[in-house]
Amino acid sequence: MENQTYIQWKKSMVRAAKKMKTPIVGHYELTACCNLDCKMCFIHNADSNALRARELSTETWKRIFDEAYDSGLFFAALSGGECLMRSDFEELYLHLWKKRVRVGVLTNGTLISDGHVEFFRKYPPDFVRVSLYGCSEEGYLQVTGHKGFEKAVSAIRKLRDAKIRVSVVVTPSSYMKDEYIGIRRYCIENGFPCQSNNFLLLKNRECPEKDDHFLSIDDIVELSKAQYELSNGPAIPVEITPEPHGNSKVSPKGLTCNAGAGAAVVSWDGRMYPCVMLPIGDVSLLEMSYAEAWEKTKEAVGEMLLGMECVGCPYDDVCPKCPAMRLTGLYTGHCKPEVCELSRRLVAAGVKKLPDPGQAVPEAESCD
Amino acid sequence: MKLKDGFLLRTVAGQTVVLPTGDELDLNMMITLNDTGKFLWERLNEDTTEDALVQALLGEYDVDEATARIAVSNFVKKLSENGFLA
Repeated sequence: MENQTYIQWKKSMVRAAKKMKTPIVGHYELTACCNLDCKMCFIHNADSNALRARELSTETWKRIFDEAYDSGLFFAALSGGECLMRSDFEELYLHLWKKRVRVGVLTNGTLISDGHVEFFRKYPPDFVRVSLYGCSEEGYLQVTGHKGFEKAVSAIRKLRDAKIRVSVVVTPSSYMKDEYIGIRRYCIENGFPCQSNNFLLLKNRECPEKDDHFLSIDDIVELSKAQYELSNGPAIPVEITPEPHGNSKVSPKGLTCNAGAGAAVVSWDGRMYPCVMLPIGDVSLLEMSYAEAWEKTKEAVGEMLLGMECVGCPYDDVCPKCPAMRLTGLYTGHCKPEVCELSRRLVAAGVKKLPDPGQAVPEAESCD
Repeated sequence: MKLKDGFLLRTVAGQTVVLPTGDELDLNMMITLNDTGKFLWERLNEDTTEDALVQALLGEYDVDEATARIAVSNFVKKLSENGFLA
């Protein structure tokens, strides 16, 4: 019996699972429906009967959860679309919770009622992460097409007051360029824990042709600098930076993160992927068991070719660890040139610092 | 000496975790047991003594009595401090 914090304990469990290739983390997209109409998203006010008819039934999700539990599931995250749009949300949540699976909830927060707060107080989630799309009602409306800022913020306050582990998530996109720093500042001022997802350089799994949400490299550097300076004061530019380069002629195989090693995603229509950002494997849980799908997902991940330029690259430590971010297209074996440029420019801007020679580079961790 | 009711063990990825079975779930109280801890925990589901636990350890593991006695004593102390003993 060791004395450690909950987060330390969770990380140690996930590390052990990654080593043993046990799917201890499960991310379940319960629905493709959403009550918002975000410009950067592939879902737009989707609440049609046709879409709902393609969603998995309550019983199918329970079967998947049971099989996942038998395969080693310990940490689940429920998302969507907007997962609170499912009328059976609490039933599905409790199905996992009663098995003592730690259940996290990813939501836009606008549908969280006093009843939900009481429910979460009684059956504590591992976390509630509320995506925030603006720092004012007007900004929120511009991005999502709906007035939801006050609702989301009120929900965050109520959850926090109920001692539920709640935080804010921001996913920077071209449509949130003017709001991003405002959200970060708002969270600091209001004492909300806040984390940013990766800047969107990624194709959307459901809608790969969509790219209007991408930020330019200039924008990302500008936002990153402003975010850095919010917490750290002025960034000090670096005049000379090395050329990004690798020292391998061969692309390494297999992912370095937890995707497909200790974590799996199940989409709203029942397909398993190693990560929400990596549409590989792509096996249907309507056709096979969780354990069988996991085997195929692991196999697909093991065959993935990573960027040969990344091996020995001086920017390896400051570059996004996320393999999906680094890769151009899929399994090509080369790093995306924009990622190399971005890393160099972030170092040049003083936002990121290259490690001292000989300093150990941290292992990539799950971004659950 | 015996464990309180309301806990179960679950082993995932080689890690054995103590889980509360009631609806009062303290997210901050997560206990992971090593092999020896799991062995002793399972014996503490029935009323037992430190001497009996030492003997059980000696029967299961290649360990000398002094080491086993210290291990049992430390384990029982931690269980008691964390409120696991009835």
